[in-house]
Formats: sequence, structure tokens, C-alpha cells
Amino acid sequence: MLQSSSAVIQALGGTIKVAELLEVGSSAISNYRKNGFPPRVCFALAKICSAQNIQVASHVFGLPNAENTSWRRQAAVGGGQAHLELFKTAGFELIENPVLQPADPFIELMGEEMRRRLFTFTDPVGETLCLRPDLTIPTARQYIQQGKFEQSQYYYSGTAFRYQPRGAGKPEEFTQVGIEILNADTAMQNIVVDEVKVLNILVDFIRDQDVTKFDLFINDLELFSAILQDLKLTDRQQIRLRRSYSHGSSLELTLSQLISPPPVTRSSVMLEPNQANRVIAGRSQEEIMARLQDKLDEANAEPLAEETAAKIRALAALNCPVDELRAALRSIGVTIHKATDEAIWRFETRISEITKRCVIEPSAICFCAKRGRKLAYYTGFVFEICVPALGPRQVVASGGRYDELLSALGAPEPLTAVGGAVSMERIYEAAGGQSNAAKTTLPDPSSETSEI
Amino acid sequence: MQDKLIIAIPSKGRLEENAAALFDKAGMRLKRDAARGYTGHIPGMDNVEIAYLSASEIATRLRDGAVHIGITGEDLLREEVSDLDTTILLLKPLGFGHANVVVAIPDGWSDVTHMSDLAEVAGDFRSRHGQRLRVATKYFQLTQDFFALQGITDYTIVRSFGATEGAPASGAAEVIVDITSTGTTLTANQLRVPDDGVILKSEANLAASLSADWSAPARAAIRQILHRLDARADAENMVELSFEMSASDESWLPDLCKQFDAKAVGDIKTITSGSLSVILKKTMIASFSEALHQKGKAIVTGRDASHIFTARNEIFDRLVSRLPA
Repeated sequence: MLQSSSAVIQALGGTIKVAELLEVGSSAISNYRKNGFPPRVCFALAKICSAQNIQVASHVFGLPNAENTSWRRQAAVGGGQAHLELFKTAGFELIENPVLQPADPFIELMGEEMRRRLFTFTDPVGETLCLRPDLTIPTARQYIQQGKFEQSQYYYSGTAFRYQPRGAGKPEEFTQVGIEILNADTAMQNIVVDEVKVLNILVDFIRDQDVTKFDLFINDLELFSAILQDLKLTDRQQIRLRRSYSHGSSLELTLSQLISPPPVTRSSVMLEPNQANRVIAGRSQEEIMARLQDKLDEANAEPLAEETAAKIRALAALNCPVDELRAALRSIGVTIHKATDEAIWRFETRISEITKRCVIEPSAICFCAKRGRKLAYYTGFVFEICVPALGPRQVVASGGRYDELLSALGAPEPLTAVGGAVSMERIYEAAGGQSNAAKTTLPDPSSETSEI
Repeated sequence: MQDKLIIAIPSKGRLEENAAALFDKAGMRLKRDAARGYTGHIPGMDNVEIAYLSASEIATRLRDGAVHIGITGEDLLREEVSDLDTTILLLKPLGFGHANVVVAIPDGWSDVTHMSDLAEVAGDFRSRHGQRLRVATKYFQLTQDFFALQGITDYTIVRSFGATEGAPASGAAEVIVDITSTGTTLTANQLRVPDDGVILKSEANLAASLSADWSAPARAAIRQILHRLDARADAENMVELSFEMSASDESWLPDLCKQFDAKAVGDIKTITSGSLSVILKKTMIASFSEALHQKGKAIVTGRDASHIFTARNEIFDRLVSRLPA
């Protein structure tokens, strides 16, 4: 079984021979040796290889890794199904979603970055469709289409698809099993109960499959907002920092712009008094002038202090056991005022529920401010369950609260949502396939697949 | 196996005219095989073939190694070829086809002067209107990269196939990313470029494919072509100055030449009398002759050359260093 593009080129008779077969230049072949085969030659080469009875590992031609595929099958038809009973027992109802989905909702909700990861195509009447890259958004859409808006608890199990650069060795097709609690009661106590319930059931589901050694990482986007509030930043500064923190853009860039803001100049067009309601490309004159006035006011105020920026930077990188959170905040110089105190109190309530119901020691739970910031739709509590033995792709489950998702998808009023999903291939890898894992998992320092 | 050097030339418009003029001036006439044909040749250079292609197809053909060199806009190369740095080498900018790929916003958005403003407005837009700010463009790749660099995540791209400048007025998008050379179309559509909204300053480039089959005849042909193109280009930018030499000049002249990036025609050390010619940039003429006057040279004459050939061609050396041996 050949494992690299170079081995395949050798087996087919060397650079010159393959260049002739593919009708390309011999320097192109040298590039293939270095960088792997580009998609456009994979089909032709696979045909030639099978005609000559040359066995090639599927990942060489950019196909899903054979071992990953077997985990997927096990997950989908084998043991995985039996474990799903657990969700039914807990009162969750199965929801099935089409694999083919309109592409727009995913790009609208997950951002332009997601476009690069979507398998999209145009149907014969011109609509852009995609293979679902996740099952949360299809579930939420189906819930909205039903139009009942009752409190609902769903579970799902299915394949999701995300493009990975060829030769990266990462699966493009994977199995997601997950649960969602939609439109639940919004009383504070119930919010925590639902969040812990989601986490608890997923932890049970993972333990049920003999994965018992894992770390739990928790983040709370609300806590970041509360601290910004206590740091006495202006509204605009808070909004910009919150957005860049939770929407996965560069916090460093935002900080540097707030420390030295570009000069404010009135541009040539000025408001004519009777035109306040005129709308220019979706924004009213009133909105534009209000923001301009804010900018002018702020230009006279102090820009963000370097000292405050340092605190925010440290806060965004915070990683400590949850029972040391207060001490860790103090050590980076955050004074705990009212908003922060309340947010920490809510956080601690949650943790004590988690330790009770999930049977995990607080010292084994980490507060990690880096988690849950790449998918733009989380709004509060976020968790990730990691199996360190899996190395770079160690996140086996993740989830959290996304209270803005349903209204962004067209629900008539704001509705709460909390949920989480498990990557079945990784669970199987963690449960038994560790020895294979070492061979098939390529180093992934960017850990961009950490979001499930 | 294809031994000829294949040159991709834009098949129509100003780009074609300028490309043809560029070769023409260097004594290489591009000839189409038929009046409307899409292949051509250069009389006297049997190992060269011309392929007339659309400007964006030239970018993908270079990427795929189907042509050796091509002339096309840098904007198209960067948009069409995501792994540009490993597949294509930009040999030289050609001084025509200047245009910028820019972000343009409605002029009436008086509060937006910088991309950081746009980042903020995009975020507000989403929370106010429940949908992302729409950016109409044909430049997906350039837009995604630039917006990511600027920390803008709350937007979505709307594909535009032309008349992009009309998108904000027609309600198809709020903002555009497009190419502009003079900015008049933007102004006519009440659009404006934020101070730091230029994504790419583009011009036509001579580009080489790193994955094409660079056979010995192809290498010989490109060497000859670059040699001749550069001889013309140098002749346009440089001038030949001459003055009388005397024996003591050897002590200061090499340093002075170095200071003005001037090249002597002949070896300064062996010429002790008679006239010496140096080649240098036109912009340096006045200050260089002034320096010569101070060293006692009463008369310095300058001449335009029609070609300046040099034995070493830097561009060719750069190309060869990136090709497999």
C-alpha cells in the first residue's frame, strides 16, 4: 500500500513517465512529489493505478482516510446507535435533517470563513446548495419551520462535511451526534439547569463508550463582557472588544486600534436637516450622524490605556482550574466589581451543579478563555471535552449557549438555545483506536478543527 | 513532449495592444496565425508559440503549467491562484494596466473613513438588521483575505458578474470590492474608498509558471526574450554618459560609479586615456555629471541608446533559481 505521492510516481515509472501520462511538465511532477497531488490529477492517476494493480492509500488521492472511514461506519451503524438510547431515555426526541441544505444560512451564521469550508454547488434552477457542515443549524431551521415554538429537546446523529485542503490528512466527512434544548424557560435557575443537563448527558454518552479520561474546559463569554463593563470602557470600546473576542477576529488588532485610534475627520457629505430619514445603502442618515457624533465625542476622550489593554490581553488568554478563577483574575489586575462579581457567581453556580451532576472534581475543570470563540454564534456558556491522548485533534465534544441563533434564522422573537455535539470518529479513536491514531493523525498546530 | 516556449497573451483590448507594443519595441513582432486566430508566433523565433487567452484564463493556465509565461494583471493572479507563491513567479511589472482593487462604500456613510469603521459598522449592521453586511464582488479570495486581515467577520459576499459599482444603489449589497483605475466610475455611483481601503495596487505583470515543463529549448527561448525585453527597457530608463579619462581617475571613479549605481562600459583600471562610457539611470544624469565636473571633467556628453544588452540577466537568473535543476 503506497503512502505518498512520491511513492506513487516512482511506482508508475518515475517523473518523466508520469509527466507523459498526465501530459504535464516534468517540473509539475516534482511539485506533486513535494506538495502532494492536486485534485485535478487525482482521478486520472487513481484510474491508472488501479489498472496497473498498484495499491495506494486513499488519502494520497485526497480521499477520506480508510481508518477514519471505518470509525465513521462503526459510529453510524454499529455501536454508536445503541448508545443513542441514552438520549431517548433522557427525554430527547430524534430529529432528522437532509444532508443537502441551502448554503446561505451557514454563511450568514457561521461567517465568510465557513464559505471556504463548505462543499457548495448549484442546482439546475440556480439555487446554491451545500452538504451540511454541521447539524445544529439544520435542526434549528427545522424547528422554526414547524412554527410551534414549544420547548423542545432534540437529538441527532448524522454525517457532516467540511472541506480540508487535499493532503492535509484531516477527515472531510465526519459523524456528529448531538442534542439541543430549544426555547427553554429563561429563569436564571433553569438556564443553568439546561446548560448542565446538556453537558451531563454528553458526558454520560462519552463515558458510556468507555472514554473516561478527559478534560473539561469551560468558558463564559458573559464573564468577558462583565469585566469589560467593570473596566469602565466606553460603550463602543466594549462592543468592539466583545465582538472581536467572540467572533474569532483578531483581538490584538482591535486593541491596537483602540490604543491609537485613526484621526476623526468629518467627511465631505454633511447631513441636510430635512434628510434625517434618508436611507443610504441600508443605513439611515440619523444612524450615520449619530455614529459620527459618537466618534467625535470619543476623539476628545482618552484612548484605551496600554495598562487596560494588557489586562484584556491576559484575560483573553486565561487558563486555570475553575476553583482558582477569582485568584487568577486578581493576579492579572482585574478588580472584581459588581458586574464581574455577579458573572462569577453565576459561573460558580454552574460549576457546582456540574461537579454534582457530572461527578467531576472542580480541580479537573479548567476555565479557558480561548474556547468557543471561532464559531460566531455562541453567546454565553461554552464547553469543550478533550481527550489529551488524541494529541492535536483532542476535542471530542463541544457545545454551549447560543441564544441569538434562532432569531437570526427567522424566529419571530428571541428564543433560548443550548446544545452540544460529539465527534463520533474521535470518540472511537479515544475508546480503542489510540494506536492507530498515532499513525493517522497529522500534527495540527493550528487546531482549527477544534470546533465540532 | 512540448519543447516550445508557450507565451500567453491577453486576447483582446488594451492589455493585448500594450503587450504587443512591448514585444514590438524590443524587436519581436507578435503575429497571429490567422486574423481572428487564438494562436500566434514570433517570426525568427521558431521555438516560441503564442496562445491568445482571456486575462483570467492566463492566470489559471500559468497555475496549471499549461503555458510557460504570460502577461496578465496581478489582481487576477492573486484572485485565481490561491497558492501563487509556490506555483507562479512574478518576473516583472510592465508599467501598464494599472488599476487598484479597492473596497468602496457609499459616499454618504460620513462616519466611515477607515476599515476599522467598517468593521464596527458591519457588526452594528448585523445586530440592527439581523443580516450581515453584503459585499458585492468578483474577488472572493482577495476580499476574504483582506477582510480577515482587517478583523472584519460580520459580512457576507454577494457574487457580482459586472457593473459591481451599481450594487449599493440597486440594493444588491451595501459595499463593494472592485477594480478601478481612475475612480471616476466609483464617484459617478456615489462611492468612496476608505483611507486604508486599497487591497492591491495592480498592474500587468510578466509571470512565469513554476510547474510548466521547462525544457532546455524553452529555457533558451525565455532567456533570449528576457534579454531583448530588458535591453529595450534599460535603454528607455538609462542613458550613456561619456567623458575623457586620465590616469589618476582610477582612484575615485569606481567609488563614484558605485554611489550613483552607474556601470562603466569597459574596465576603469585599464583605460587611462581616451573616452569612457558609463550607463546610468536617467534620473541620475544631472547629479552624476555635476560630481564629474568637480573632479575636473569639463565636458560630459550624454546619449540615448536604442538597446542596452547585458550578459547577465537578473530576471532569468531569478527564474532559473526557482526551477528544478
